[in-house]
Amino acid sequence: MAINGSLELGNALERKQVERASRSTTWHGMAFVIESLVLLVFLTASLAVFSMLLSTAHTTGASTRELTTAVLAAENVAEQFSASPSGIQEETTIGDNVVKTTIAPQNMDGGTLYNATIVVYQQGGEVYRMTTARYVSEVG
Amino acid sequence: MASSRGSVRIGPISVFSLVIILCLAVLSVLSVTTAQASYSLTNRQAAFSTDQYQNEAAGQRFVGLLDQELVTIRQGTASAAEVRANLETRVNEIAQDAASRETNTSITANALVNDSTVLATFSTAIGHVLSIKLEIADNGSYQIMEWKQTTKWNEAGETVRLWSGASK
Repeated sequence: MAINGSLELGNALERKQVERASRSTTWHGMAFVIESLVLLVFLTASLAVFSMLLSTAHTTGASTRELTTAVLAAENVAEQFSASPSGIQEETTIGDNVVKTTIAPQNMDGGTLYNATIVVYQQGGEVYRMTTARYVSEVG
Repeated sequence: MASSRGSVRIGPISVFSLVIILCLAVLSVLSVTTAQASYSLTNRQAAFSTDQYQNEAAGQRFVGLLDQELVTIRQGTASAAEVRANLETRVNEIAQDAASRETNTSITANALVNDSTVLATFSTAIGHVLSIKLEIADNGSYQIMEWKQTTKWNEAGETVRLWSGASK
């Protein structure tokens, strides 16, 4: 009788342990799935923000490059104009830049003052604009 | 049992992912900051170039206006001495007139006549200074002796004070 009782107790304990182990496995499996989902959501959100930041940086970099080349192109044309104010072309292409120069000669008593407006376009849009002048005296 | 259920420990993959995300965050912020700084610098450079050529235009206009005065010598209606005497009183006004016609930027002009030499400076707000030196000949012609564009160094600023405690 006593032996039977202890056997039953042993079986009950064993059943309890198996049940506990099974519950623990289920809990760990669920925790892993939740962690994975949270991680996935967090990763996706972070990557979206980083993509936006990197794309902004890329766009700003492209604008910087455009403006730098436009300023250089305008300066080149301005120096050419300074060397020969009447011999400058109305439209010049330097790389991706289309430089349009408008010259307005102004007659003065002693010579001519050439006023130039230099505008740099890229893909049809104005990127940079500058004005300069050059005086040419009648006595050289 | 309660303690084993209550504590969800972060897994190694999550830790690895978080480290990567942190690194990406730092890199993204750095790249945006650098791009923005470059853009600001380029804009400043563009403004500098615009300013420089407007200063140049003011200088050229000044030479033109000065040459207008010299025409009277060339035409024989006034002597070189008379024109020089006239310029001594009017040259600063001529320089300021030349500077004021550049409407997009504020240019400060100063000029003086020293015997047959005309000295003029055109300064912009950014710090460009155009120094011009002209030599007027007796026949009413002129020669440019100096045409110098310089930039004032404005970066010195105030010194950084690391310790503001009282010195004994």
